[in-house]
Amino acid sequence: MHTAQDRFLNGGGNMGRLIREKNWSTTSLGDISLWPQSLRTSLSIILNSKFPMFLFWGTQLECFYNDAYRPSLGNDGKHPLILGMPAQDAWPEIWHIVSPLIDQVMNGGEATWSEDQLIPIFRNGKIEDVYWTFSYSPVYNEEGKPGGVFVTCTETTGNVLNLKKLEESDKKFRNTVMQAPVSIVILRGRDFVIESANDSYLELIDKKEKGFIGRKLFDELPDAKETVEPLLLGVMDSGEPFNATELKVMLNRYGRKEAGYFNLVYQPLRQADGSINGIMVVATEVTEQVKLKFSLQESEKQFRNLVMQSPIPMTIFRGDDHIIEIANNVMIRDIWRREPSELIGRKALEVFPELNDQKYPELLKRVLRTGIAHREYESIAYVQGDDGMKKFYLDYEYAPLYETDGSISGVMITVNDVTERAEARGKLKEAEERIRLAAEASQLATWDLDLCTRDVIYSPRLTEIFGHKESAILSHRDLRNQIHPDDIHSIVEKAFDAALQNGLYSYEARVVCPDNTIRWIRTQGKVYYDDKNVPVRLLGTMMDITGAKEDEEKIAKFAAIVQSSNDGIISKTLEGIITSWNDSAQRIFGYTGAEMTGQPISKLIPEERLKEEQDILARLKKGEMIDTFETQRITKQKNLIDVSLTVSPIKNISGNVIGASKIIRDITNQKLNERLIKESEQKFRLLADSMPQFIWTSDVLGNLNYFNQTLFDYSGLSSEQINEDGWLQIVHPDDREENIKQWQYAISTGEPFFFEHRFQHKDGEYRWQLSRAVPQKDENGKIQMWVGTSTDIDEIKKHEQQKDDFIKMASHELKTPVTTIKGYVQLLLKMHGAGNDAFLSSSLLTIDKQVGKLTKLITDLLDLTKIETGSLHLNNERFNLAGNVKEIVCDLQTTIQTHRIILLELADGYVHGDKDRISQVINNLITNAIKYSPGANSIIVELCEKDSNLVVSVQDFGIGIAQQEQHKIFERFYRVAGKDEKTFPGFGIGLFIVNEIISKHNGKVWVESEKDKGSKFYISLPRVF
Amino acid sequence: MQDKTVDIVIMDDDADICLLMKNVLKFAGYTVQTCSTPDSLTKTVAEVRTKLIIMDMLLAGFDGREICASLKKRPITSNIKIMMMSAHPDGEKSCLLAGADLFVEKPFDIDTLIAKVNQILK
Repeated sequence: MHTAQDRFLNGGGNMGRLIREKNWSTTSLGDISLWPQSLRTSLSIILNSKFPMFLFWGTQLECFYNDAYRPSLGNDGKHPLILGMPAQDAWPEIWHIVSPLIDQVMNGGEATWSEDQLIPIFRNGKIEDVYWTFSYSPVYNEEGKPGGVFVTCTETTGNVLNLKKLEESDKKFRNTVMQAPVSIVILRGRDFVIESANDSYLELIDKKEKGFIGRKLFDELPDAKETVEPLLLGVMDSGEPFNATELKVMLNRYGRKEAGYFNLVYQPLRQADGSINGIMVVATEVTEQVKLKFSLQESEKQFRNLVMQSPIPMTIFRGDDHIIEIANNVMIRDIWRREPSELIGRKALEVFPELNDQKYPELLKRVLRTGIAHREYESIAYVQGDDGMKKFYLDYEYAPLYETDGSISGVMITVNDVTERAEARGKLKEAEERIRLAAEASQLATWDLDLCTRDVIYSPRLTEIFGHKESAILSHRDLRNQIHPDDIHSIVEKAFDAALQNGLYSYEARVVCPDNTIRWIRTQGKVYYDDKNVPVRLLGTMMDITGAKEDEEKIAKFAAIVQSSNDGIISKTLEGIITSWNDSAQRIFGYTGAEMTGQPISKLIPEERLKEEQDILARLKKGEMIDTFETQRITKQKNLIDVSLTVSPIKNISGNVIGASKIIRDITNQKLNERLIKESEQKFRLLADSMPQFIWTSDVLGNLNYFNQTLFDYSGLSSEQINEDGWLQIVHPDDREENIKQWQYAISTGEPFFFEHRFQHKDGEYRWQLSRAVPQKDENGKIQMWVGTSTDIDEIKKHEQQKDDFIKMASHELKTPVTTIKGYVQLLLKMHGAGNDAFLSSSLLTIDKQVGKLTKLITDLLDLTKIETGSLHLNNERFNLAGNVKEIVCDLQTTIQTHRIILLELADGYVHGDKDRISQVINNLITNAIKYSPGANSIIVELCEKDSNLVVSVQDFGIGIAQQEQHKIFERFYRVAGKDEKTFPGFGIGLFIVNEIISKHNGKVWVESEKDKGSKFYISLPRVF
Repeated sequence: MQDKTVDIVIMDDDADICLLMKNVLKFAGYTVQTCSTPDSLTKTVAEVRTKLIIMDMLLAGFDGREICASLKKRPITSNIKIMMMSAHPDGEKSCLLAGADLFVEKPFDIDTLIAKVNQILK
């Protein structure tokens, strides 16, 4: 609803509506109904105007504006917030700008005018640069004083920015022109007044901008007038642009006259009416390029001269068709052998069709394509000249010829005729080849060592001698490195030094081939000297003499063997005459070589065996070898000795038997030993057979190969039966598997075999046997065989069983009454112990305590019995020792009031053993500690890891043990005495049992103690994982 | 048939032990019946419903472990807990192997016995 008071807002658009809707009572203006007419009128005008208008009114300068002004506030800005807001709050960002203007107007000053003023305001969510053209003018109120400020304004941001862009683009253009690498000048009128010229142009003509711009061109450049003015006028008259390339202009540059070359464009500049009033000259200086072109032309000229005057045959082929562009006289006369008229300007391959069958066209093409020069030496070429086909050896080069643009347009061909040289060398080669063949035939290698550079040249045979392929390349150093280390210094280097002294080189040495075989070489050489008598070359031959050397060595070795042999070696003729006699023969028979050489062999043969020798000789003549046989011979001292003989025929190269060699071994001692061994073996067998035990042996692999007679007698089996069906048949079937396992273990480890098993008697009964076997080793510790025994332990086994039974019985019979007594005492204590009868309860407690001691004694006694009878069995398992120790300590502490058991370190770890027995040990040590430290109040228990063992220690602070007694405490029935030799109760078997149990666990027990200070007992057990 | 119920049946060929245990366990609040031979045990378990049998490992002429094993095999008695006792300290392992639920070594503390029975009958 419109009221009479706000009717002035009618037709005021959105802003009119907003003014009406706003609650004005909170502002300094008060409710609309209270507004003065001057304000109403002003607002009516503003709101109805389509021109952007703003009003500040009242003392607070509250803000009003119309719909036309609204866009200037943008989005996300002041609209509609600032409606009715005091000016200073509404425009904080520009207050420093507008405040003076408002003040001026409000203080009665003149209206203001600002054009394209930058006033950044907050709109569109940010401060924006906004340009305004605006006026502030006063609105007078009812009192005739300025009541507000009327603002008419247009935002000119768009215009201003466009203008700025235009300016910038103009600037940019000018910059571009001015800084362009081409020279630009703009001339106006027929006088060609210079309107503008860029730096490049000014530089070109060596002028400064000042004193040039605005002047007439030809006043400034009079030298150019003659050539340029007609051209410019032509353009002015015709309106046609003028282009000139490489125009030569004489210029005054860098203070002197100089020719410059330009590519020029004269572009007419037209006015709006189409008439021409100016010319833009764009000049690109090409002086350098032009000069280059001239110099190129010049150099090409020189180049052609070079080709033509060269003493070396040269020609140039142009293009893909290889047109012969130019060729010098040498080429034409010596190589081509044609008339020039037949050649120049023609296609090369047409002139020389024979080239098509050779490699050259392809090579020419490649050079044209790739630009890579091709060079070849002593290449064979056939060229058809007027005098017929000729074969050339040519060193030649095809070099690509480039154009200025980098393309390849032809090939320059340089040729050197080396036919004579090549042919001469070919002949030399042939001669060399002949020498080489000769050397090869004699297996002789030749070599040539440069003593200055150590370069070595050698024939292929040399590489072969050194064990390489013929193609291998070896340096002097390589060859030296292959000399056998034992020979390099003592032979080769010595020979070399000697050669440098006396000029002759000669040695025999070994070479180590790459495959590690050894070869002998013989080297001979001669030193050559220069004119100053300095040795420069060493030339020589080398020969592989391995075969000869080996033969030599073989013979030497053989002689050495013969001489040093332990056997007597004799050679004799087929007539039985001795021809050689070695040291051992002398040792055996007592005769020296001198005594026997030339003597008949029969001298050594007992009379009754003379026929033997005749048989031997007869067989030898037939070429037969006589197998080793044993016989007897006579020594110098006339003793008869046992010998073994091996006789072999000696043949000459033609294979005829010419004598015999005889190897004689004195076997007297051997024979004696054999007899002794036989006797000893017989004795052993007799002994073994008469033993009550079974004796057997096996080979190193565990195969049983001997049993004494006792075993056969016991089992009723024959040796054959055991051999055939195996010895395992007599072992009880239940014991066989473990038996095999244990036996194989012993064989594989070499540890003694130890096993209890039952053997079947011939009557069918099985009896327990304890079998033991130990390996027999040689002096190197290597097992040769096993010797075993099996002893009947059946009776012992039975006794053991009886003992076990007894222990079980005794346990039962002794413990049952104790159980009853203990049970009743404890029951009575429970029922009556807490009653008034002090005597009853103390008696019951005493009985209970004593029964406890009795129980312990019985347990200890039984353990002792078990230990003594060897029936203390362990139920081994893997368990955590720390957990066990902790448990024992906790349990014990609940029953002990006198001492505190302190558990210090507790190393984590496992052991393998009987948990109950280990508990018993620890229990025993702790109760002992308490028992022997009546005056103390603490026990320290520790569990540590040491090396690969777990060590439990129990320490007390009691009576201690004297040093001299410490080794006795683990003995049976030993008890430590306290002060005044007062003993403590007990049998003195606790520590004995402890020791036995720990020993059975492969552990150790020991004590550290000092009299009257206390003891520390240790047990250590192997740690397992 | 099984119209009578007791908590525990004790078998030991030593009458004094039988009586002692009966007294101890009665003191602990259990109903107990005793027998001295395997035959009487068989008869007792047939007639009386029970939760626990306590027996000695070695009886005159019998092996308690065999009796234990056969009781554990028979469906009717297999649910009855069995505690075995022995003066032989190495007996525990074989008794447990025979199927016994618990083992108590003789001589025992009655507190230990009661605690173990409490635990098994809980």
